[in-house]
Amino acid sequence: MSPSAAPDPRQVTVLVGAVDGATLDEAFRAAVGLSLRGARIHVIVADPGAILGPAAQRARALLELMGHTVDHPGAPAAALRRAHVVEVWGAVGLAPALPPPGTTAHVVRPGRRAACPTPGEAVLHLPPTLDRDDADRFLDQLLAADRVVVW
Amino acid sequence: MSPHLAFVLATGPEAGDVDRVVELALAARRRRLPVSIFAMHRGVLALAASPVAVATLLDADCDVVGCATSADLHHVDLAALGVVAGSQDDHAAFTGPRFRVIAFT
Repeated sequence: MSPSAAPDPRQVTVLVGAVDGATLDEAFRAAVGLSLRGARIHVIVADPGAILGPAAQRARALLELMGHTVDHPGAPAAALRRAHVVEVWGAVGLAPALPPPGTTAHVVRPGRRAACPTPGEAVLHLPPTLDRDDADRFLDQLLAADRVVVW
Repeated sequence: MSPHLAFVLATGPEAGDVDRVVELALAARRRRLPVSIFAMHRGVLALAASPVAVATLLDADCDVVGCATSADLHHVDLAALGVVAGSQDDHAAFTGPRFRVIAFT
């Protein structure tokens, strides 16, 4: 296979919201972990007041050394648009932005909100208790989407 | 190609996400879709607090892997739960094209 025929690397967005310091460290550790099989990682720290501890700072430096992207919010929906896999760590409140192509299923846990859905996208509000019928119905929509974002 | 459902669980028992993962995983297994779960951070505590949920997942032939680093940190005995001790490489495997990732993080 010629280099030009190589498939595009998988894109992963790790969106970090309001979390405690230990969870912030873990989100960055997860981001490093997710890079281990060649995916391109984009970490967005959505809380402008977030202070990275030493572990998160090391992870950030490593990610940037490997050519991944770590930044504060600018275009979160654009990052979601590129992503094959999205992990949202903690509650995120972001302004809506560009609609992503393809379809995104937004799964919203009780007490959370979907930060950047666009018209026509599935927004599935999880009840406090998910029963079998709910799960079957939700699964239909999760499988129909190109990506799933759990808020 | 049928998708392989991959759940990431990083929230603790108070979040109630384990039960959501179980219901969605069972729905997928009823359709004979393969299901994997990777637990890290406080997700390993959530598994430890719900051994019945873990047994349900294993009985349904789901792959359940816990991050060994998180388990050590939180003093969770993954083997006693029947959960495979894994690493971030198991997490990274979910970035493959056949996986549909649902991250409760």
